[in-house]
Amino acid sequence: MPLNCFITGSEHFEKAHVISKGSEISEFINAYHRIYVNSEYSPGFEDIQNIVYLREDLHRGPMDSLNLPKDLRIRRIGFDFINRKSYVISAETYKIESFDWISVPDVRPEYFAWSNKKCMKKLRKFMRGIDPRLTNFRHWVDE
Amino acid sequence: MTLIPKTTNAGTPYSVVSVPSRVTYTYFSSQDCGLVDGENRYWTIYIPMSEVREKCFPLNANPRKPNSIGSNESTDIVVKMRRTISNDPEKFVRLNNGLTCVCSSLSINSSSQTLTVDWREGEGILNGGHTYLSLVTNPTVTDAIVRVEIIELSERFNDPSNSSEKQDFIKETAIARNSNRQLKDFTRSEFEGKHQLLQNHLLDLKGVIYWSEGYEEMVREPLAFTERNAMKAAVFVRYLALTDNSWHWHPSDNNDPADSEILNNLLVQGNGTYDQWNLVALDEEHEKNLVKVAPLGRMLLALVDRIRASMKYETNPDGSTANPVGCGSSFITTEFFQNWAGSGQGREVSYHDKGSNELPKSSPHFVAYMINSIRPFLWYGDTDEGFEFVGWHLDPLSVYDEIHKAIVQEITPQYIRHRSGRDLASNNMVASSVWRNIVRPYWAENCSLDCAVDNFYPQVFFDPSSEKWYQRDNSGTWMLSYVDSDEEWTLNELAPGSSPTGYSRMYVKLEENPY
Repeated sequence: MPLNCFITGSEHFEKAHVISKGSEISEFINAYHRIYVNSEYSPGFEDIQNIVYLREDLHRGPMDSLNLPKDLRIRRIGFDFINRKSYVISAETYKIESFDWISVPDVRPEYFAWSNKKCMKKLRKFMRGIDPRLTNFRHWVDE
Repeated sequence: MTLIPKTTNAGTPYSVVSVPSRVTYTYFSSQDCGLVDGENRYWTIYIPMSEVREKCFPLNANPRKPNSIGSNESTDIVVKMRRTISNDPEKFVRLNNGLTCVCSSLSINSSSQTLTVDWREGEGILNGGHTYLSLVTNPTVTDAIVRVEIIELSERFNDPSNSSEKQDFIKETAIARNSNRQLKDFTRSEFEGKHQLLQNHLLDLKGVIYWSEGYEEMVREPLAFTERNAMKAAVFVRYLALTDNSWHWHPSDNNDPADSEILNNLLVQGNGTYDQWNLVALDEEHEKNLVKVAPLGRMLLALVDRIRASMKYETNPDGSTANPVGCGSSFITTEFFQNWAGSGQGREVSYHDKGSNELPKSSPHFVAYMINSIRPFLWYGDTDEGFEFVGWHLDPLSVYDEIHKAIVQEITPQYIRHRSGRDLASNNMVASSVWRNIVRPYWAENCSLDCAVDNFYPQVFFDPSSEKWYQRDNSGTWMLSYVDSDEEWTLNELAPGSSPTGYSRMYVKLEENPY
């Protein structure tokens, strides 16, 4: 994987978990059990095929909403892993901006779909309009 | 000029000037301080108390409406001011900050020592409401003089196209000037209009909630609601958020939740929900602004009453317990009942019938815990038009009646291991067993995620577009349809006698809110 932000190409990037780890990895473990009903989680799974390199502002803003209290945090970034684009919804205007991917991160499609399913409703609906598979993690697991 | 009679929520009558009005006051002295901020003109006027009482002022710009409990000088600022007005009137102008007002225009006639003020919408006293109340309610007129600072707004603010800028100017000034005694968060939110939408759906019940300091529209009959017996705005918002699947887990998103999902810490955080909601309340696009669930407000008040009524301690003529019963042996002797579920017996009143019944206070943690178990029976229907329907699969009060005793039996034994309601409500294992053993079986009987079956469809729902409620009725003419591929709902009127097609059910439109 090239060491650049996969959306902007910036060399100033941070590692971002597509499925958030949450407190004591509870969020990832919960997601993992939902996605793979018959599979057991093992420590470290959260770092495998679940990390993208993102420019700092994209990571802390649209991805993790660190400027907001915990209970108001919601993803404002969607990953179109089919068409290799990302959609970012502005916190001020709520307009959706599209970015072509510069590189393709090694992330499982079901993880991207899980993340998409958890993002802002407006963005979720936008992506469902593009391709319903973008927000349907089951499609990628059941394939 | 017209005077409007007002009553503080402690029952003190007083009057204010209606707007728009032109009022002429006789003054003691006046000073034009000029365009101090480069745009608006600042005046300092000293006015005799008699003029304030006779002519009055508008109070529209003041976020904190004045109130007085009318007796205790140590705690009531109005009583203190009145004492100065009566006993040391000459000191009043020195000891009191006076009134700060904003107006559209002002003219001085120095020969007659009068000033004429044009008061328009949103103008008047923006700080000094309690000073005003003291002056107009003092038993006697004395020689007291009050200092009045008047900000005469720039002419451009009178242009209707600048009305929003004018509102913001007044709001900013009012909030800042009231900072000598900090406005409470909920007072500020009320002034900023954040409560408005929630209030609109409560109709005549909005006055059972204390929305701001000195809130003037409290319910008066059959019981006079006050700050003490009304529900706090933050508590209402906390409960309302518990009905919202954007704030809390719901089976439609995941019918097999992890233990940690069932209980959100917000359940047991006093003002946690309100503080966060405050940040997004006016954000139309934010999913947690509570707009979606606001129509549930009246039902929620009835549900809160029902929860507290179920914990009201009542006895039969022979002394045996008449209520609560069925919650386990010796339930009323447990710490859980005495300190939490049934705490504060007879200390509070019901909300939905405006105080007609005495009810236990009940810990808000307990009430929240119970609402948390009712939420799965609520229903949300997304549309492609930017709004969501909201309603219920099964009447929430009936659900509560059906399951609360079993829930109480399930959690009572756990209580002895905890010190407070907060501890129990933070216990994910207990919450999980409540969901799996009690709530889920009943939910599975009455609700469904399968659009091919009846229980998938709501019994009752609210449509924000028509602002009406709808109820399941095969003879109805309104068809609620589900589009499986888009996970969206539509509502259409059909000709009488039509049959539903596809994934849909028929409904009748209700003229009244079901609660």
